[in-house]
Amino acid sequence: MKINNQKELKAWKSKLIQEKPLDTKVILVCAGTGCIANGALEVVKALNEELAAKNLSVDVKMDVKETGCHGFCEKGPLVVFHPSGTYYTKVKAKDCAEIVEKTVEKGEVITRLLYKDPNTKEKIEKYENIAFYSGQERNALRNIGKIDPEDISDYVVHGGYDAFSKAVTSMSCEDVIVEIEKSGLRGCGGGGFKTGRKWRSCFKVKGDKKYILCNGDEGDPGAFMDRSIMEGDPHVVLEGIAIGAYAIGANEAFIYVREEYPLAVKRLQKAIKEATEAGLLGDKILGTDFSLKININRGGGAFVCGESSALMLSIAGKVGEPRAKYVHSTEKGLFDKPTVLNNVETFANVPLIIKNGSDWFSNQGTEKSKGTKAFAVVGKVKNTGLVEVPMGTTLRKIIFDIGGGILKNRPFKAVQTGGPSGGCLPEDKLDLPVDFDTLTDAGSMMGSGGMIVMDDRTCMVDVALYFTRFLVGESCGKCTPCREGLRQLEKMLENFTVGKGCIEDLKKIEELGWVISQSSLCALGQTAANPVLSTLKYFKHEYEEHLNGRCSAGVCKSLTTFVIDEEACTGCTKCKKVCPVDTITGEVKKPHTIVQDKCTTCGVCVAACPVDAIKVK
Amino acid sequence: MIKLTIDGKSVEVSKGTTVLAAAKKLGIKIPAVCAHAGIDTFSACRLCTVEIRKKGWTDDYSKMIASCAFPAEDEMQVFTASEGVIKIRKTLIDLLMARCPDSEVVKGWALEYGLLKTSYENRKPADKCILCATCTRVCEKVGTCAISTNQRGTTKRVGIPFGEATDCIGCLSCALNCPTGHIKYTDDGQTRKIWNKTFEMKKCTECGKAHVTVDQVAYYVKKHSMPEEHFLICDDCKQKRTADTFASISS
Amino acid sequence: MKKLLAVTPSKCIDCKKCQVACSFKHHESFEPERARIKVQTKGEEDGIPVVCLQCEEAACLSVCPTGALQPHNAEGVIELDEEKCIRCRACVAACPFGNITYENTSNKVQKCDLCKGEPMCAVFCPTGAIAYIDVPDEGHNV
Repeated sequence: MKINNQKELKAWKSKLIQEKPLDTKVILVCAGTGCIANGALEVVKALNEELAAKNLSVDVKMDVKETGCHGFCEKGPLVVFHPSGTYYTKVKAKDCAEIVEKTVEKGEVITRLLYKDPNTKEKIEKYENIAFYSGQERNALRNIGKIDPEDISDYVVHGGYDAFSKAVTSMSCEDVIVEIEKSGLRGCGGGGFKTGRKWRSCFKVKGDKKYILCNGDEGDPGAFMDRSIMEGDPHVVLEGIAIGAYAIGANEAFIYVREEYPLAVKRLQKAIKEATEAGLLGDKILGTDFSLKININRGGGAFVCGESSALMLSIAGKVGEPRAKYVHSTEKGLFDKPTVLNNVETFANVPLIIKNGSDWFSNQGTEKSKGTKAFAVVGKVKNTGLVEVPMGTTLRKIIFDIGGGILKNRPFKAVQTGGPSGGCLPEDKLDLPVDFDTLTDAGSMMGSGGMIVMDDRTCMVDVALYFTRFLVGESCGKCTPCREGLRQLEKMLENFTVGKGCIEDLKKIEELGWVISQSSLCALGQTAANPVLSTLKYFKHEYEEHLNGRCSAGVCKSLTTFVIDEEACTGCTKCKKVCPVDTITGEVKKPHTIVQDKCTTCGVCVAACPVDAIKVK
Repeated sequence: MIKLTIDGKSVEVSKGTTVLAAAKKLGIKIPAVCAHAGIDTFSACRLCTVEIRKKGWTDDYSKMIASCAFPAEDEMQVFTASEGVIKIRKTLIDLLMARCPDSEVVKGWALEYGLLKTSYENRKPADKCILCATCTRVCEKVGTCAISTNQRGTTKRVGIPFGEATDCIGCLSCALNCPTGHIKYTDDGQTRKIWNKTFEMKKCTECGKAHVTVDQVAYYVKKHSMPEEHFLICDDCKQKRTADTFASISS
Repeated sequence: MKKLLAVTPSKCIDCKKCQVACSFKHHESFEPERARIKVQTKGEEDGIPVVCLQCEEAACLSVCPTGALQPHNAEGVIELDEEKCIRCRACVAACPFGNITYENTSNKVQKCDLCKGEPMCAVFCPTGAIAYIDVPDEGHNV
C-alpha cells in the first residue's frame, strides 16, 4: 500500500488507531538479543499455544507482541502487560499456562514472577514503579519494548513518520537544520560534535551528490545501545536518516552495521523494504521532489571501522584505515563527496526534535549537553541493562538508584565509562554529572554510553591491561605511536600483572601514554591511553602494590594468595564444596583452611563464601 | 596568501599549503619519512608532528599536529623543536628502533636524538619495514596496485594478495623508494626477482642489455597505447641511434 | 626572446667538455659518465652531442604517473621535479631518444633542464658545437 502524500499518511494512521486503539490489551514479550538468548522465543510460542487452546472471549483475549529490548536485561525474559503495566521477570515457557489462566483470564497477578526490589525486598507489580524505569527518561528508546519492530504500522500508530512527513512537505532544509541547531543535539557516538553544525557545514557545500551515513558499528565492549535501537525500533533510525538526508541534500544513505549484529541487519532490511513499499523511501516521497535510497553495509569485524574516515573507506571497499581529518568529511567524505555521518542514537533523537520542537529537547539536560542519553550499565551492578536518562544525571544515581547498587552489596571500586576511549573513575567522583564534558575533565569521557561498574574484586591494573590489549588487537596499525606504543604499553602492563613490573615503568607508562595521545592519527589512538592513565591517576596504589608482589583484588594469579579468616569463617563448608581442586580442609562449623600448594587461585571459593571470610593475604 | 611564523620566522604561502611545505620554504627541515611529494599524503609515521598555536588561542594552549597534512593558517605559530615535539619525536624513533632493531637507517635517526639503543622491548622476529607504506602508494601511482598492506595492528605488513604477485610488473619502484632498504630484489642481468616472482627480462635488441621486464613492456604498451618499439632498445642504444639520425640529417 | 639549445655536430670535436661541465653543475664532481648530455663518438675528434630535445609532444611527459615531469616552462624546458619523482622509470623506457635516464650513483631519474637558463654545456663548449641561441625567425637547420 503506497502513501502518496501527507494527507494519506494521516488517514492511514487514523485508520490504524481505529482498528486497534493504543490502549488495546496486549502482552509484550521482550525479544531483544539478550532475552532471545535466555529463551524469550520459547515463551512467545508457549503463550501463543496457551491462548489458542483457551479460546477466550473478545474482551479478555490478548495478542502477544514480540518487541525490542525493554532494557532490563538482568531480569529477562520479560513479559509486560499493556496497558495495565503488570511486569513479569525471568519468565519461562512452563510459566505460560499459569500466566494465561491467571493474569489473562482472571486479571490476577502472579506474585512469584514479579520483580523484587533488591534493597527494599518489596515485590513490585507495575513497571513504572520499578526504580530501574522510574529513574529514566526514554526518548531515543521510547518505542522499544512497546512496538513490534517488524511491523511498520505499529511504528506509524505510535507517531512514526509524522516528523519526516512534516519536514519534507512543510519545512525547508534550512528550517530543519535550524531546529536541530537550536536543540543542541550532540553526537551520541562519543565525539559529541554538534549535529546541527555538522549538517549545516555539509548543507553549505555545493555538490550534485551527497551522502548521509549512519554509524551502527558500536565497537565498545559492553555497549549495546545502538544494537537495541536498530533491533527494537529500526524505523526511528530510518526516519532520522531521512530527515537528515532531506536537510543536507543527500539522496543516498548507508547504514554501516557491525558484522556481529545479524538481527539488527535483518530488522533494518525489513524496515527499509516496508518503508519503500509504503512510499516513505524511494522516488519522489510523499509527492515531493525528495528521493532517498537507504543501503545497508555490513562491517568486517574491525573496531577501527567505527571511526568515521575508516568507515567511509570501508564502505568504498578500501582498507579501513583512518585518514588525517584536516579536510572535513562534510566536504570530501564517502567517494570524496560531501558526507554527513551520525550515530544511530543521534538519528533516533531527530524525529522527536522535529515533532516536538527544539525547545522540548533543549529544556532537558545541562547547559552544554542537551537532551537525554542511553547507557549500557553492566558489570558488578544489580540491575544490568539499558537505561536512558537526562544529561547531567549523576553517576551515583545511575549506578545506585537505577542500577540498584553493587552486586552482593560489595564495596564499589570504580566505574569505567566511554569504552576503550574512556577511563576509570573512583568513588569520590560518583557525584559527577554525566555529560559530554565533565567526565572528560576528570580523565575519562562519557563516550557512546558504555558504563562498566567494578567492585573491590576488580583489579585496576588488569582492567588497564584488558582495554590496552583490546586496542592492540583493534588498532589499524597505520600510525607509529598507536601501533608500536600500545604494544609496548601492553608489555609493561603484562609485566605488572605477573610481578615483573619495575618502578621506572610507572613514569615510562605515563610518558608513553602522553606521546600516544598527542601524536596518534585518529581518536582510537588519541584516547587509547585513557584506561591506563586514568587508573594510574586514581589507583596508583594498586600498581605499587603489584610492584610489592600483591594483587589486593585477587585477580592476578601469581600475585594472589587466598586465605580464610578463621574468626570470620562460620564453617558452612560452601567453599570446600565448590573448590574445583579440593584444596580446602575443615569440618562443619569449624574454621576452614586453604591448603596453598594445590590452590589455583581461581577465586570460586571467594564468590561462594556468604560471610566474605576469604581474603587476599 | 597566508602568513604564518615557524620557529619565530615569518613566511607567506598560498592557501592549501601544508605546514611541512611552508617550513621547507623557510629552509626548516622537519623529519617526515612517509611524506613524498609524488604520492598521496599518508600521515602515518607521525615524525613530522609539530606544535602549533592558532590565532586567538591563549598562551598556555597549544596542539600537536602532523605537519605533512595540516594546512597552514593565517597567523598560526609553529614550533618544530619545542620540548614536547622533541619528546614525541624521540619516543617515536625509540619505538621504531624496537620495531626494527637491525635497521641502520633507524639507528641513524636515533643517533640524531641522542638515542643509542631502544628503551623498549625488541620485536621478534623483526625486519626493516617501518610501515611507512611508501611502497604501496608508489605502486598505486604506477598503476599496478600489486602490493598492499595486509592485516592490521602489530601484525600489519606489506605483502602481496594471497601470496602471489600477479599484478607486479617488476618495475622495482617500491624497492627504490623504501627508506630502510627493507624490500629485497635481485637483478642479475638475466632475470629479476622481487616479491617471490621471477621476471623475464627484455633484452635490448642492439646491445643485449636486460633493461626492462617483459611485464613492464606489456603494461606500458597497454596503459599508454605506445608502440612496443619504444621499449625494445635500452636508453644507451637509443642515444646512439639518435646520434646516427642526427648524423644522417646533417650530412 | 625565446632561446633554444642548438647543437651543430659538424663542429663537435668529441672533447666531452660538455659532459664534464654538466656533471659538475649537477653532481658537483667531474664524472662525465653521469652527465645529462652525452657525446656519441663518430670518429677521431668527431662526435655528436645528444641531449633532451624538450619535445613538443613529449613521450616522457605522457607516461609520468605523478606529474613530476611538468609541461614546458617559460624557457621551453620540460622540468623534472625530483621530489615528485617515484623512480618508476616509465619515462626512461618511453623516451624514443634515450635522453632521460636513471642515474645509478644518485639513484635518481635525470634529464636536461638547461641549467635553469644558463646551460653549462654551451658555456664550456670550445667550438660552439653547443650554443644557447635566440630562436631564429625561419629556416633553421640542425
